Amino acid sequence: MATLHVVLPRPVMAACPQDDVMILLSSDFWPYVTAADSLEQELKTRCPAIHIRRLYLDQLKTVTQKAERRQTAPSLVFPIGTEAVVAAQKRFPAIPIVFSMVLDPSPSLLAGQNIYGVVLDIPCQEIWKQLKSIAPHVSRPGILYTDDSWGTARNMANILRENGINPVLIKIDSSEQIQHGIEDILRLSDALIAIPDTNIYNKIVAPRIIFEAIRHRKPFVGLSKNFTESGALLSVDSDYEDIGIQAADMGLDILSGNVPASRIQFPRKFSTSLNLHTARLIGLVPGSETIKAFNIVAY
Amino acid sequence: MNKKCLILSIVLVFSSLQAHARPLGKEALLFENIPKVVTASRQVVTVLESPATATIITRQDIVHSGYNSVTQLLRYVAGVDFFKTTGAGFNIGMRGVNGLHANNVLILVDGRPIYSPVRNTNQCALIPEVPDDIERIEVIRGPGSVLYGSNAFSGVINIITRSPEAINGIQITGSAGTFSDELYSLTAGKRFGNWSYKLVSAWTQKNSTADHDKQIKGLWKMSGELNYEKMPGNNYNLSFGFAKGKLLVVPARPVTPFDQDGFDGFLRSRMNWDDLKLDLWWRHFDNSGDAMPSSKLHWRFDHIDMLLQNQYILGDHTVIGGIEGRVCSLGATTYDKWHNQFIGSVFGEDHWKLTHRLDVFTGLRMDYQTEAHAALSPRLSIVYSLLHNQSIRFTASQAFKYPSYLQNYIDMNVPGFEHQGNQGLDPERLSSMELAYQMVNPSRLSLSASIFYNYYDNIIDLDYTAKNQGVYITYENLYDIYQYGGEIGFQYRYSLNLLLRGNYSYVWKQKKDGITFGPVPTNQINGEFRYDFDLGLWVDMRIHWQDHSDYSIGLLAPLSWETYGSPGDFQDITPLPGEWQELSGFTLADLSMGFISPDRKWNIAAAVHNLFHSTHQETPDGNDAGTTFTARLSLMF
Repeated sequence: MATLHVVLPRPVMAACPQDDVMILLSSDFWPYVTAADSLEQELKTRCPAIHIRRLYLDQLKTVTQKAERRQTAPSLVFPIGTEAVVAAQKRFPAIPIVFSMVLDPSPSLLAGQNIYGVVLDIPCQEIWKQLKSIAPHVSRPGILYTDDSWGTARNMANILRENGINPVLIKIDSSEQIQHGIEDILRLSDALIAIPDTNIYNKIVAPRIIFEAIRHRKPFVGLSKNFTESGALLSVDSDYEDIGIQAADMGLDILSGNVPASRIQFPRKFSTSLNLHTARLIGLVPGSETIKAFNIVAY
Repeated sequence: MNKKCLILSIVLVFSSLQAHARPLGKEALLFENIPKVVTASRQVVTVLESPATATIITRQDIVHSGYNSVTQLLRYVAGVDFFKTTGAGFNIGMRGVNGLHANNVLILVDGRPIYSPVRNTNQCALIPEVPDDIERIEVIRGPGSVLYGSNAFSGVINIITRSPEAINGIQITGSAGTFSDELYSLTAGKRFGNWSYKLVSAWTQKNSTADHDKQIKGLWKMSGELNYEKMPGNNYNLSFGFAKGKLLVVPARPVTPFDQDGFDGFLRSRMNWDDLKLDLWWRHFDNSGDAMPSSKLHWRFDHIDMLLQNQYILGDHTVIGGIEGRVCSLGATTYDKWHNQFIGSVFGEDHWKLTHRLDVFTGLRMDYQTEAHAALSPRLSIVYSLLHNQSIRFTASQAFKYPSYLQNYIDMNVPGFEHQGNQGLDPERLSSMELAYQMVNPSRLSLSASIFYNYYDNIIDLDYTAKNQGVYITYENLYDIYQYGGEIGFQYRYSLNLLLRGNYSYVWKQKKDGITFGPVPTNQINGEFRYDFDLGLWVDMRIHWQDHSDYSIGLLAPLSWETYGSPGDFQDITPLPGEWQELSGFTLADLSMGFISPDRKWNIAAAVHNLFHSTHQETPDGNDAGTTFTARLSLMF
């Protein structure tokens, strides 16, 4: 596992807030629960006096109605997952919200002044660094996008250009164009990097892309380890446990009256998965030192 | 984006639904696995690419069912012939071949076959019927011998248990129901760095008698595993399991259920080094009882199995290849015969991705057994993707089943009744062709349809003659039969809360007098209605209909052990032709409902089987199936 940033355990805060906070989970999907567990643990460790309420989205309506009657709204809400953030924004427009486990949040989601959080997105530089470590020959990465992901694709392309890399961008306008788009991008570029776009990288189209990338002998960087397990060359995943801790850091800063350095933060810890089968298939021979830095997927 | 892309994105959001999960945001792209199935090809392939028809019973299905025995869920799978033989016993067959001894389907637990070589029956007592320990069940219809060898005749059922990471804590479950149906279990699992462990302990008792009045003694089951993961894909696993108590030795038979005190346990070691897998296990089975009219039985067998498998990737080809071996010592004191048996196998299958739309599976397996010698099992499967989520497939394959130990060696002599094994038996063979269509979209609408033609030859059955005022019975390769049929099924998610399922199965089978086949209906229909309320409550209704079933139990058709009285009564028996008999069709409904607490720390579920008390017979010995009720409470720590 390639650990980029080590976070040491925090001591108990000197001036510890004793507020009521709410952790709101979109569902009991395990990544959400993992982040919520570490968030809650971090809050309890650093501020034993803090009062934590943990809810699932299903319960929000009932609980907030009771809370409104008793006028005990929380001082801060930690929504986990996109759906919880949307609900928290509606219910608590005037109190600070520190979200986590949200991928590629829309501008409307980040619009409020009370919104802080940790996204799931991996910084483009990190993806590029990992790709180069396993495929040093890559110089023209490709990006497929649709209208929905134009902003993300543009940002990624700009960052790559700032680093002297000239990416190939191809837009897909309809489902009929997907196959052609895949073939074109693999022909014109020497690697393909996935961006969060439900029109392209869903469970129906993704296997096709993975297959075509292998057939064209081109590295494909998936969105998560699940992609790598299905045949993508590599993926960079954030650490859900650390994201919970990071959200707790931000929340405690806000409750203590401090302003976080950045309202929206990237994850601090990553791990990179490599599919050795795919590497062999597309003609890459990673050295043993390189392999040690990756989670190896044997599918 | 045009409408299709929009629909695609909506589909993705819907597809992220869990039992009580709200729709996810874009992060669903990171979390969701692309559906895969392993049993059909020993490779990880998507359901659409699978070379055989696969149905997956998910953990969500298991939890929602509220059943103490998850095997009951098999009744609702298309193409599965399921009937309860007693209050607790059951029998499983597929596509119209349902022997009274559940011996035409290979049941695996985490890839380990559990059938008994004594009768080729599946040793149901060791099925981890603890719902807390089952992740999913893959049901593969059609021959599977190309990869799994003998007994993977008309289908393969692979029960996949939960990983320590999935359990992640302790779960205690208590369940009780009518007819003395009780189950108490403790499941614990956790991961610590590179190490993980799992421990499952359960005590259960079930009414296993035909008249529903008695109860068998409790059965204690325990299993566990210790896993060390050096790095992903490189791990060592040591596991064990046993069941001790009353074992249902013969899962189904036309006479009194055959319960005996016994022990059935295994010790297993699995090692994975990237593509290379080495699987070793030892199984010990020992039981005794007094079900036979003339004397006590003491059956025992030990076998050591070894599987070495590797996967190679050569261009567009993914090749699975391996060798398997079994050394078995088995015997029954009643018959005064103890034998060693050896089975050796070589297998391989190539998955060739010819184009992005076309997958070709070509496989061959060769087995050798000391008694029945060599058997070949080829398979060719061509899968063509019509659209992103649809495929059409043609499969031609052969499967086989070796004679059981009893068929080879039974040697029982009582006055008027002489029973001799035959060591010259050939393996039973099945040649099959199948055409199938699948559309997979679990978030909205999934469809499947298949038609098949099966030809069985060398079927082993009782051959009886009159001899010295008694009966002389032995086994012979007597018959060939053919059958054809088909299945269609759908799953439709109407909304976030409502799920509908249905399937229809048809099979026509050539009749042959004297064949020991269980009752198999020509037509079956299953339906399911499931509603998940937002606050953690669910309701699940399953309905099953099947028309009348023909069956023949050969010589013993009109008899039961009770009617024998003393051995001297055999003198009155004269050989009888196998008579075809009929069970009437019936409809039954199962209702389950449950609630999971908001903090997910506890849940309750209740299930009513045969809700409308449909008076019907599922068993050849003619006992009515009654309504049963089960309630379950689970606590998680």
